[in-house]
Amino acid sequence: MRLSDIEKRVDLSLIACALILSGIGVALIYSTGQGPLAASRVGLYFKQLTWLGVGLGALSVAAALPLRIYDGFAKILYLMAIVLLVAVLVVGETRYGARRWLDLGGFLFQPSEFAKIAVILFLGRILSNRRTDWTTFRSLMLPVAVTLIPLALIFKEPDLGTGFSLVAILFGMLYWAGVPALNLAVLVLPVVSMLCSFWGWVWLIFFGAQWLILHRSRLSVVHYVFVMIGNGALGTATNKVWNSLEEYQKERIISFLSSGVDRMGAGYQAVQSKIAIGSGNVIGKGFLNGTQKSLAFLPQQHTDFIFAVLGEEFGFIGCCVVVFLYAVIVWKGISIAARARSRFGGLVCAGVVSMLLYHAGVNMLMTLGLAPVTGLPLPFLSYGGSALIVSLAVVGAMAGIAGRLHEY
Amino acid sequence: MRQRSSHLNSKQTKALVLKVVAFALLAVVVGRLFYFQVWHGRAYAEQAKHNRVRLEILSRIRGRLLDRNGQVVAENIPSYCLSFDPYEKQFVSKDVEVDEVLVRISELLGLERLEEWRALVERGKEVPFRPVRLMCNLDITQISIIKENRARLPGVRIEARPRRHYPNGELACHFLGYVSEVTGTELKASGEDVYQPGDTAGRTGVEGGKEEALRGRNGKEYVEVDACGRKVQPTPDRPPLPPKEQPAAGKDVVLTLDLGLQRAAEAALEAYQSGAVVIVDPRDGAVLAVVSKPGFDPNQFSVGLSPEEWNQLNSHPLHPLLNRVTQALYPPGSTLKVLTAAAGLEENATAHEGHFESCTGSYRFGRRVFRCWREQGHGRVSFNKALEVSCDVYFYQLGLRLSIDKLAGYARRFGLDERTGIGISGEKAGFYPTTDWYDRQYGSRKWGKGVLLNLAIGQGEILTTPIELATFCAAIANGGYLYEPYVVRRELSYGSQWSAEARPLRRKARAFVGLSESTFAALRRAMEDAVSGIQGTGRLAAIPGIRVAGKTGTAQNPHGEDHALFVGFAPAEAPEIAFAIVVENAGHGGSVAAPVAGRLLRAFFHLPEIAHADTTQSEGSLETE
Repeated sequence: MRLSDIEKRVDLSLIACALILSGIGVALIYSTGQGPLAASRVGLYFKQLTWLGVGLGALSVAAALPLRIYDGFAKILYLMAIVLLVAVLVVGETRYGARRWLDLGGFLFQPSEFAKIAVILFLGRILSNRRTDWTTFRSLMLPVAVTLIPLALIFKEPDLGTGFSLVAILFGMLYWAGVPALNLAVLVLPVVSMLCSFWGWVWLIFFGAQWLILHRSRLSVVHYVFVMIGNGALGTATNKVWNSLEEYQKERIISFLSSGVDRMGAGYQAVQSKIAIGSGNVIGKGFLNGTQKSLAFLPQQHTDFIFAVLGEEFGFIGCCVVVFLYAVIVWKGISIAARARSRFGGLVCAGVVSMLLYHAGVNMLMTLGLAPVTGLPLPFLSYGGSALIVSLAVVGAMAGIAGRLHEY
Repeated sequence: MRQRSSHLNSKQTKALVLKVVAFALLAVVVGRLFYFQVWHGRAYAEQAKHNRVRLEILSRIRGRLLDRNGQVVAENIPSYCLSFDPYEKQFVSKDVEVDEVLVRISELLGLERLEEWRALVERGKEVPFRPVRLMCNLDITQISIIKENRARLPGVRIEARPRRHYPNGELACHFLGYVSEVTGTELKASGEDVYQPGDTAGRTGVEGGKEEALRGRNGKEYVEVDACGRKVQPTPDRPPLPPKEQPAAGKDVVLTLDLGLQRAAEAALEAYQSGAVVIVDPRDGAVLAVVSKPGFDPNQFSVGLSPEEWNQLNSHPLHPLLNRVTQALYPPGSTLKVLTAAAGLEENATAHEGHFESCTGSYRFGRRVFRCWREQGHGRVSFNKALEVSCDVYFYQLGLRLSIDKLAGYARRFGLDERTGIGISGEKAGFYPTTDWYDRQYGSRKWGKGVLLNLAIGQGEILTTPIELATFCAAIANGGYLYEPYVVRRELSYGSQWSAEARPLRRKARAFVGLSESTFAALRRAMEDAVSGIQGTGRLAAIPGIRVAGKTGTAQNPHGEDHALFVGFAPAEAPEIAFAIVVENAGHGGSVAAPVAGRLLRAFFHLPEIAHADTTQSEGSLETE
């Protein structure tokens, strides 16, 4: 089969972007393994290369499989994901106080990564049902429940960063399924209310905005008042409960919210990461020449903070190239979703795009000090087998959908 | 409206909206990058060149352990450590080689630990600017040698660190546990927030069980350092550093331990090589003393054990690290006749005692002959007398009126087949066989019915831990409440005073052994007679002025001399303590374990000790099972 034949069947440019990003990742991981203080990271790049090989296989298989196979296996994959997430809570491996990994003979497998695919496919299956009127609130109950179960299990590990990626997936897919944006806004109101309740005037503004949203949504007046009162009560209660907590209890909650992160170093990492990125200037210090990387000890420079290494060694230009590659993947993904004839295919693309965008966006904002430090890998770049394989597989699936737009 | 919503929902519009969202997000990233790398690029480059932020850990202090009267049983004393910074300026500038200095230290101190130090420094280099601790517990001569030669020893510092100290040495070592340095795997699993390299963690006993409360929290401080890792004054135009966090000391933990009683218990076992004593308060389950002999000196672990010392402890034939009170399973012997008696009373089997054969020193069952411990026999005995003199023949016949599973059922009700839940790790559960178990073990009907007779007198496959026996005894003393034994009375903030407060706590019982009040009363009476009766097997546990209840036991031990056991409680009318005593390989319960109980009780009720000669004399004349 010639390349042009393959091109007819899959979207090669999408795959090319993913592979370039993965290559950059391997190079950066190699870089973090250099220098006198890198003993613990020597040779990791080679492992990542191995995962890249496995990931390529996963990508090819994912691209070759017809959509109806995904559709057919969605439910089984979802159930498997739940079983694995429960298993990890029982027999998982612990690192940094979080139980997230299953030890598969030396390879630490992260079921929460697998769960993301499973949730995307299962939500795709549910939401592709045309007989449901997706503009009602009642119709949201099933997809929300399907997301909340794995979400709760992942929070239990705890791994908040990955858990919230399921929320991003849910919202992206609901929106694509035709749920009105206002309905989605109503869904997040309780959480926003809890957060806003800590600042009096912000909370007042929240009520104003809430009134506007509810007014324009399709809720009946009874429900509408109910939601207003409920959110008000929730906010007040949150505030009251928080203030009545002992200092150590607050400490525990904060520690849960930042779980899995080396909190001793979190504030420190943020400072270091900013200095490292900033000192890269326009063109960077050059490959392997990052001084902050090799001297200033970023404990997670090969995983969560790899973007800082990129910023230091390749500067603004290097970072822009990477951001551009993400943009291309996202852009293409959305376009494929829009062109796909199959509703299921479109929904899967929307879910994948939401997931990648959430991971890439939040991780980069975190290294830039604009998002809280929650352990979260940067897709394609960060060291880690499960995440890399999953990212490549989902890109493969999208490329496959692109090549067979008319398939159901 | 309808039209607008369908327009809004068209795929093209939705795609556009998503693209705008994605674009906005990535634009923020690019904008922020521009701000850092281009706009403020030069400032950050400058900062990277000259300044680095370093995180310094401010060590916490471990909470103390106090006994129930406020006496300190574990505290922290300063210990001087030799630390070494391989990132000292002179090493970075290559004026001096790291190895040279290490050689100098070992020559000055006359120690042959060069290889060990080289490995430590090599490993320590992975974390820059954090000094490596070469050795701890320096003595005063070593300190002065280092101080005198300071000029020739760049990067070498003496730092004071708290060291766990147990002022009473071995006393109550299994109750308290010990601390030792955290291992690499623990560091990995817990995260830096909990443990830093070089921190200690509690192991076993209360130190292990209450680790979370005791350890406290490390503080942290961010300091700006230059390229060589030296601290510099923060300059005003730098972004502010995160605030300093003060370390928090661990909680002081008040134990249920009664130091005086513990001392008396250890003294009572003095003459024997190995054994166990556990004393609980039957009113709430408070553990007053835990003796497991032989013990170890927990101070050794704080100082750091050499591999030889560790091997010695570990391969010691009597297993000093084993907590015999919770981890050793003993056959309970006749002490468990009390259980058979309880079952007999509850199932009304004692009502048939008129038909029991009188004891002639043995009992024929089928073709087998089961002996009574007293060759001459006890003649015809009543229930009360049978328990007082521990007549085997009576209990064989009582057992035959019951069944294996009935007995096992009562054992289960008293919690003899499960962990008591004492807050000390590694507790084992006891075992009481059932017919199912025999079927599985030997095959269905491949075992003789005679096992029932053995079980009825506490022999056979039954296994119990001393703490189980003590809670069993406490439940008889308090009328059937099974309390989970507890070891921690309160947590206080570090350095608080604690004045003695001996009242039992109000606690919810783990389970209620629902036997009738008359059963408990009969058992208590019979156990009292076992100590105070003329023929009582536990006579040597008697003390003047206090009504003591108890039961002796002699457990056959296939590996050597019998184990001597004694369980009991006092005062019989309103029990304040319940206890279990095991003296390994020492002989009979009545002659060996009962006097130990007597000494404990004298200490508890503040009676003078009897002269040692008296004990031996009465021991000689005593007839025991």
